[in-house]
Amino acid sequence: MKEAEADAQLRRGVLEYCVLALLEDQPRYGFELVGLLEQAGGLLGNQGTVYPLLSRMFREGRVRTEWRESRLGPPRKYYGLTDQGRHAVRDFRLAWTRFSAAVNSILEKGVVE
Amino acid sequence: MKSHTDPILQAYLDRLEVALAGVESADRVELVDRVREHYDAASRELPDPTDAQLADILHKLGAPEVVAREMLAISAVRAADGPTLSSKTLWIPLALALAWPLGLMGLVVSTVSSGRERLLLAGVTVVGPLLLTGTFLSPTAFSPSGQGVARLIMGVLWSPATISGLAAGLVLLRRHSQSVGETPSSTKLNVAPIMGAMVLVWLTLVFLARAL
Repeated sequence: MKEAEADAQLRRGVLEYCVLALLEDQPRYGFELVGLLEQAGGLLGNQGTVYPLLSRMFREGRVRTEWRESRLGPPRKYYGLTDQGRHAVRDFRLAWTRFSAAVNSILEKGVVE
Repeated sequence: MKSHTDPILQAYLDRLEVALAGVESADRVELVDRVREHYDAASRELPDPTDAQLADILHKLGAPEVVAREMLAISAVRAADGPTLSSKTLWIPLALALAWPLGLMGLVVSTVSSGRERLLLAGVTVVGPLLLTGTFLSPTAFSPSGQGVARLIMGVLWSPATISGLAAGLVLLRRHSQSVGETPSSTKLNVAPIMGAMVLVWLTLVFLARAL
């Protein structure tokens, strides 16, 4: 189904920046991130794909990791933003504002001749 | 709360492991650990989880093959980026196979005579390949909780080891240049320059490995 493919492509493009944005205020662990993304709705196809994404962002230097004790159960791996990650969110925020405004303009009004 | 040895989780992890064949072991371990952690955290939020609820946690994660495909894509990018840990690891046995016999032979026949220099030579012979080995190991080899420790160990070891190795190489080369003038008729094989050069080669390899 083409609509489903488009949906997946859109998610793939923005999910990384949504995760980075969720880490702006404080470090979070994987399950917590998944919960917040689910609350926002429609951003996660399969929850498990968040973890390869976090691995990639760690390798690219956009997130750092640390272990924190948990009140319940074993220590958890927390993800926080690096300076590079912080810059990436800031740049994306500007780009997304322009991009979404342009797309909305076309979708709502069509091309003005 | 059910433990991570739940058969339902184990079955999921088994499928995940199979689907992750071809992914670097550090990435494989990382993903399996995160899935375990996710399952643990999710199941602790349920007061008295039924099997159906536990199955639902894994269902929401997505099929293991789908999750693994994402990791495979990352590993493929990593391989395209440059030498992988596994290709780097090939240097380790090579360095050990060459360095230790050469170093020990050098100690036996060297014209280096003072006790302190012999100690230095022995130290460098042992430490050089170990340092090289440590440099090639990814911090994730100490995964999961040892990542910070691995960095700390390398940070603490690397700088002094490099400086002392460089000093050892220069001392040995200098000794050679002196001994050429003083004992031209020496019947012993003078391996000091070989050892000195070897130390410098080790350090170059270490430097390159860290720069890659």
